[in-house]
Amino acid sequence: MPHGARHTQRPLVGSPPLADVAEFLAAHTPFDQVDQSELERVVASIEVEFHPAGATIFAPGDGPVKDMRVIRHGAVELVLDGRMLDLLESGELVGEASMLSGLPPGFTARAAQDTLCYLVPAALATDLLARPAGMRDVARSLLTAGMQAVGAVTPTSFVVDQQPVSALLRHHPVICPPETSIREAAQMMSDAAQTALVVELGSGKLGILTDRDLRTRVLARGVSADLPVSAAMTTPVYTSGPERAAGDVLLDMLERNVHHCPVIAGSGEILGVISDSDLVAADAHSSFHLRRAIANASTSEQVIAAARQLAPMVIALHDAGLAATSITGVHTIVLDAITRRLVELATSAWDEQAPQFAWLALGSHARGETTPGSDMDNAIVWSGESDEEHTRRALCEIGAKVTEQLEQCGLRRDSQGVSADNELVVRSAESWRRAATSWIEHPTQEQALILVSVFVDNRPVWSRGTGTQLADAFTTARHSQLLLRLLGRFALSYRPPTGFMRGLVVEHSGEHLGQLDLKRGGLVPIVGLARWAGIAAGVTTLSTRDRLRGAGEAGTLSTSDVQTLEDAFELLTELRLAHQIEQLRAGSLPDDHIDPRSLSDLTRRHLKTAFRAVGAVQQRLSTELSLGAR
Amino acid sequence: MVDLELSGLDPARHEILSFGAISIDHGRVQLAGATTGLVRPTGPVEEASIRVHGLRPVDLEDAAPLPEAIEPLIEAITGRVLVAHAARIETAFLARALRAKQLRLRARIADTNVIGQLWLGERDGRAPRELSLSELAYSLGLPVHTPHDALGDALTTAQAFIALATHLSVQREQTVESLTRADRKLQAMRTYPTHT
Repeated sequence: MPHGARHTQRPLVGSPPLADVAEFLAAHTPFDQVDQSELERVVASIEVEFHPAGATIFAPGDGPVKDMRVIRHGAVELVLDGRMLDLLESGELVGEASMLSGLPPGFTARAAQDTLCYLVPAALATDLLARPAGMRDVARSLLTAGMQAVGAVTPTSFVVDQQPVSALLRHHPVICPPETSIREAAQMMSDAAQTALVVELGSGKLGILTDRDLRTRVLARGVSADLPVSAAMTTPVYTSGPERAAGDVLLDMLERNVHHCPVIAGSGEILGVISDSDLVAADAHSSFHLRRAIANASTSEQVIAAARQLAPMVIALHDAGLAATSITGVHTIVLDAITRRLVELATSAWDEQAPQFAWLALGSHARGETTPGSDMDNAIVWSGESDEEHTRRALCEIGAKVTEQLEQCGLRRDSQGVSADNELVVRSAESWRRAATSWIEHPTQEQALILVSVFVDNRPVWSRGTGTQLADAFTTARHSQLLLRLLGRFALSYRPPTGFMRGLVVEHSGEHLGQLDLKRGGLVPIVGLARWAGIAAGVTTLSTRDRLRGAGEAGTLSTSDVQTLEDAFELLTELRLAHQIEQLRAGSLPDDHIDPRSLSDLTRRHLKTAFRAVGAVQQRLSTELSLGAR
Repeated sequence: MVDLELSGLDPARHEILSFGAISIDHGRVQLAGATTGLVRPTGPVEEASIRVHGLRPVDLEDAAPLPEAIEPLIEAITGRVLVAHAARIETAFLARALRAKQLRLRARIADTNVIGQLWLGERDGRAPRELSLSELAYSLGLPVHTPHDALGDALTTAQAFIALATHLSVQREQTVESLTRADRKLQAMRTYPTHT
């Protein structure tokens, strides 16, 4: 062949057909991590093979898998003992774990449909998988193979609020003794461009002066700037240690309605002052303003008007990069404020003789895990033993009024009828106790399982008088094996998707055809497991995270299960919130149905891994419960 | 596995403008052996054909003339069975190009057009008369790579070929012999249709 003949050839990978192949690979991990020239090497090394539906691609008996496969077209099922572990689809890797480990695969890979695979030679594939993104993939595929997890599932987005609060400190603190004049103190703050100053009162006691104090306490009241700073400061001061998670500190600050928080080292040294704006972007300030607007509302119309800011606030917090589980916490705090104010306004005309009652948040609202699409579950409990008809009627009226106003605030009424305008959930403490006992002791009666799981998560949002906690009704039964078995059963009654279509289980009919229900398929099972394990471990707080951690400490769940469930919970909450925020932006009603095709490749895989992990924990619990081990 | 893009369909008047070839070994398409090239035509390129393959005279100006340009293709197909879609056209042009170099095209030829019709005939009890490459890929549930690019069509054809060979093997073992003689079987099927 004459030399130079090849100059007429077009570069192979640059030319469209193989560019097709390169483009396909580049859309999937680990190939999305490599540069063009490397991708070309991969493409030029590929062998394409075809497997008709039902054909075995490899089996454990064949020994270690030699090359890595990428599904180009079709689907491959991984089967073990006749059970489908997973269904892999276009763009997913097959056999890489076995190839890397040199061990026979832990399952049979079989074409579920006519399937076209790209074979990538081991040498190249190993090199690709050795990179960080590749490693994540391997960790996941090891999970698939039922082996020990390598590392934990990391939530997709890194978020500021998991950092220790000390990492967010930007400035040296401005500190002065109590006898410093207000004028001098203001000068010090202005020189240091700070909005707060810490006053050392001796023996570890502190005061704080903020620019807001200067405006409201000094200027507005005409207080002399020559007075010592102690005349205008606030003491005692809410402080934090340096190691606390920024997100937790932010929630505390919201709870206490403070804008600044000195960070104090174990030695007592003042490391700096963190402000809410350090924790959340400027926009998210609205959560403070919103709560103030709600608390100051003098009519329900004003509360409803203020509540319109709830959705924009959630969007702002999300844009500011706050973790989804923290945003749901903030969302719930605002719901509390709305509910509290509406109940206060509804009962403002009541006199001393009126019934003592508590307004209870149930379900996700009680746990502090609400999103813009959450239903509002609530109930009323009044003190007293008898079910006096007039009390019930009066409270049902309040319930109906407030529930209706909550709906006007854009909050959805529970579709199961668990809301305070339903007289089934407006009961005296004694009646609640009887109902709880009956559900627990006769769990087969209609809806007992679901009712118990709903009412166990309850928290008074507002109360008039004391001692009217629904929690009490379940407390007596808390250690009862009956209740635990019931909660255990509930935790197993919603299974995450096990069969897949387009990578995830979807609705097969109806309005949400082809969509995935994040709540039923993912969150409900995790919340259920946490509820069961947390209560079994004696955890008294309601949040899913607290329950899981408490269960881990008590040994009710293994630490790796806790980690798995926590990560899965975080991931699902993140996805759910992101989805709902997109809907809010589009002006549509937030729901829990996502289109799996809208998810990135990696997210879809994370989700499948999460579902699988939750399913595995359920499987273990199911075995233990049936053996009576608990 | 060969695909050619042509300036027209008459081997006496028209010319090869580009080629693409991919080898299949052990039932797997080897992207590593993929070859493609452009050819500078000696005559005009029909406008109608440009609309098909998108190769304008200006794109081919820098290419080598046929005898030189076709060397890598000859290297790629020597000693192999040729597979092409509607192979009659490919072989006519190839044979002519080879004759100009004092070479003879002796390769056995498998035609995915024929094999595809045979497969559809066995599957549906009725073989279609026409079966374009995209229609075939679609019937097999396979991706279609950049159509009317010589290498794209070559890849699509190669994938279709391994899928067809696999499907037909389910009924009876297929060999190079049986696949290159698919035309006779198809003829027989058309002559003596089986009704099931």
